[in-house]
Amino acid sequence: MEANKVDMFILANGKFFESHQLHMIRERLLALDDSKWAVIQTLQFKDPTTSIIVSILAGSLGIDRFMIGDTGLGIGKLLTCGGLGIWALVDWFLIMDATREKNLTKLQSVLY
Amino acid sequence: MGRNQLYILLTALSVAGIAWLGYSFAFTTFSTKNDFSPCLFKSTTGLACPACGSTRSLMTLLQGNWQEAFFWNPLGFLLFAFLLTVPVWILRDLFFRSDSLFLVYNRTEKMLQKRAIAIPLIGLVMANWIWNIVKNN
Repeated sequence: MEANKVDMFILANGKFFESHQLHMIRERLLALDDSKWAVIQTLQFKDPTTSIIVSILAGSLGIDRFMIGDTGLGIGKLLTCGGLGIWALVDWFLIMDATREKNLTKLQSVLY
Repeated sequence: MGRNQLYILLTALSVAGIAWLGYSFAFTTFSTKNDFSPCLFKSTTGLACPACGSTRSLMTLLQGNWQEAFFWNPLGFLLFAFLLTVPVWILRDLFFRSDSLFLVYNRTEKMLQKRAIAIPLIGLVMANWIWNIVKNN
């Protein structure tokens, strides 16, 4: 893919991924066939900032985990009052990276 | 999430649950005002969360009083089943080097994401939550 398209993608979507993965993503995109560009542009990523806000407000109900697609973990948090409150607290620190990881998995489903 | 991460999490949940049950048997007085609650939702809003009352439910269930357990919170039965099966299942998987629980977890998660199953379950949880708030758990 052309370098300017890839850079445009990185500029627009960089905040959805972990910074140390951006280089790998860039290399992958450069090596990718042009026909995938349309698909990649339509991908919807979850914003880590949204998930931390949801986690702070409704984390003990598991809504943050449901939101990023971890249904099983969401149910776990919901049925245990956020893991007796402890899991809800721990997730305040984990949820942003978990969101970024989910985004990468989504992108990788197109890349490979 | 990988197999080992899931097993560590489930083990931690089971251990914390059993420890919390032990603590509750020693200190809970079954009154909402005097008891310490680990629930962030109840501490901040003053309203019961969907799972509030499940400790009291489990305690009464272990004392053999299942009707009262249902009154405190029907989810207690689910947690009871979880605490009975999951630790044994994890030990079995570790012993046989199998990942059957992980596979079942992933399959169940996929199933629960289907709209036809998710919406009725959300309805049930909401109904239980409203009941929870009404009876002021």
